[in-house]
This record gives sequence, C-alpha cells and structure tokens, in this order.
Amino acid sequence: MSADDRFKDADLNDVLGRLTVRARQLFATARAKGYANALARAGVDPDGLARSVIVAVLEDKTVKYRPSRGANLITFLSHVLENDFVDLIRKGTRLEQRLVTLDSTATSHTEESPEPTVVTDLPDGNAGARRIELRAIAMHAAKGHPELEDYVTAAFDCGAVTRRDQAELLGVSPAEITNRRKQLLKLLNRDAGQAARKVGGSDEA
Amino acid sequence: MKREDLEKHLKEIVSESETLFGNVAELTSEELLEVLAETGASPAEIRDALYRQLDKVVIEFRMSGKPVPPRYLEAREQLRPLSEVPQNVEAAQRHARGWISELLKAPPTNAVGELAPEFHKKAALTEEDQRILDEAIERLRSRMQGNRNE
Repeated sequence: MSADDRFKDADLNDVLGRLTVRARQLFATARAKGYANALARAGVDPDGLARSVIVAVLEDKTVKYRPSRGANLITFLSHVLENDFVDLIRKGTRLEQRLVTLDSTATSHTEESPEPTVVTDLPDGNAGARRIELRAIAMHAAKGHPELEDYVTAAFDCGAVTRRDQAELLGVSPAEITNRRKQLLKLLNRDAGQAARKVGGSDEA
Repeated sequence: MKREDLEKHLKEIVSESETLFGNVAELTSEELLEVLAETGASPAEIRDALYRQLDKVVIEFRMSGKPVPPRYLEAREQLRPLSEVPQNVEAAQRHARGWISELLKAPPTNAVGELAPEFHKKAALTEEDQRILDEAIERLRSRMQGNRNE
C-alpha cells in the first residue's frame, strides 16, 4: 500500500481534533506537576504539537503509519504524540539546566539552584514538586465541586478506567463523565495559569 | 534530578493523564467539538492553522518543481475553510456539498418558533378574532414542527 493510499479514508478533522485534545491533556498534566518551565522553554504549544504529528505522518519519513500492522490511525498517532511530548519536556529540561548554569554562574548541580530563570512558576529545580501526584492536584482543583471530587476518586482509586465503567460507578451518563473530565481540564489549566502569574508577578497568561 | 528519575516522571505524566482524562477515542464527534471549543482554540481555528501549514508544504513542493504527493492535496482539501473556494472540480463539488449541508442543517431541537402577528390595533381584537388568531398560530406551529421532523 502506498503512502498516499494509507490516508485515503482518514477523516483529518477528526484526527486533528482528538490529537489536539490529547496534547492539551498532556500539557495540563505536566504543568500541574511542575514542568511548566520546561514546556515554555521548549517553545511549542499543545495545538502546535498535534499539528506537527500530522505533518510528520504525512511526510512518511520519521513517522511511518502502517495500517497492516493493526493499529488504527488515532491510536498510532496518539503514541507518536506522547513520545514527541516526552521529547519536548526532555529538551525543555536540558535548556533550563543550561540557563540556570549561565544565570547562577554555578559550575554544577543546577537542579539545586533556587534561582528562578526566564519563566517561573513551580520550582522545576525541586524534584519534590514533580513527585506531587496528579490525583492530589486534581483533588485540589476540584475543591468545592463534589461531583468532580467523586470523579477523581472513581478514576484513581476505584479502578474504573473506561468512561462506561466510571459512569456506572457514579450512576451518571457517559456524557456526564466527559463533561467532568472537560471541567477538570479547564480547572487544571486555570490553576497552572494562576500559579505562573503569582510567581512571575505578571498579568499575562 | 537524575536521568532515571526524570524518565520515570515523564512516564507518570503520560499514564496519569490518561487515568484522569480518559482515552480520546471514547469521545463522540459532538463531544470532541465541545471539548475543543471549551479548552482552547476553536475547532475551526485549529483546522485553519493546519490548513495553512499544509498549504505552505504544497507551495514548497511546487516551488522546487517536485510533484505534490496526492495525500497532501487530499489532506489540504479536507481542511480547507468553507470561505475558500477549491481549485479542482471534484474538491469544489465536495466543498459545495459540505456548504449546502451546513445551510440545510436543522435548527436546534429546542428552538421554538415565535410568531409575531402584524396588527396595528391588536388591543381592539374581539374574542372571536383572538380565537381565530390562536388557532392559526397553532396550525402554523404544528406545520413547522412537522417539517422539522421530516
């Protein structure tokens, strides 16, 4: 099958939408866990990352989609996106360490430097910040919204993985589960933005 | 931070993120549009951005005198904004079909038709006039409802 035939039946609007949502989820999670500086330095936003994955698969050089191997396009590209995302944080972390070294004129042990560098929010140099579990962050974000707290408990503590399982467990419709996930994504983004403004002393998002 | 610790944290981000937000493949098309619209740039904006990016790639191919692989042209056509007219006949027809179906899309089911009678002296209507008017409004409403359900 030629590279052109592999994408003949693909609905690119749908693929792009799903990858963009996944990228936004990953960015929100990483920011909440203290990697906002690294992401900012990497210089790519979630929507741009999703686009780059589609451009790469169309190019058929570094990313080669082979439907004959079983994976559907969304599943395959979601894995590519997750790998690219991880590379992005690695790159941002490397840049951050270089900047800290230059800023502090220290010779080594940049991770212990308390000095904020270009972008500041959670102290990325503090490994403890990264160990915060997403469950705790999500619970904090959901404070005052009992239905969201219930959802976080169902997702993390009750082993309900799929939307249907979670809906059954909580006695709501699957659409309501999607609604709660969406609200949590918004709340995590809001909290990350507020943290960045607080530490940076700026009103910009 | 040690390299192994970083790698462990990166794996956690990916897996915890899926635990919290679920698998994007589970979303219906309507839910997908809603999530996109409420958590960042709108679906139209993200589509337009990729369209522009692919358009640049197509132009680069042409500028360098190379044939454009059909998958790029097909992808670009799928993403073309409704306000832009396609250049080839097949794409133009597909584009027109999309445009017409957008125009013919039924109004939201909760939309209630409001009828506004044009009477200068509505207050002077007799009870009989009012009854005839109410019946006419009722007939029109049920006809509109019937059309919508077809």
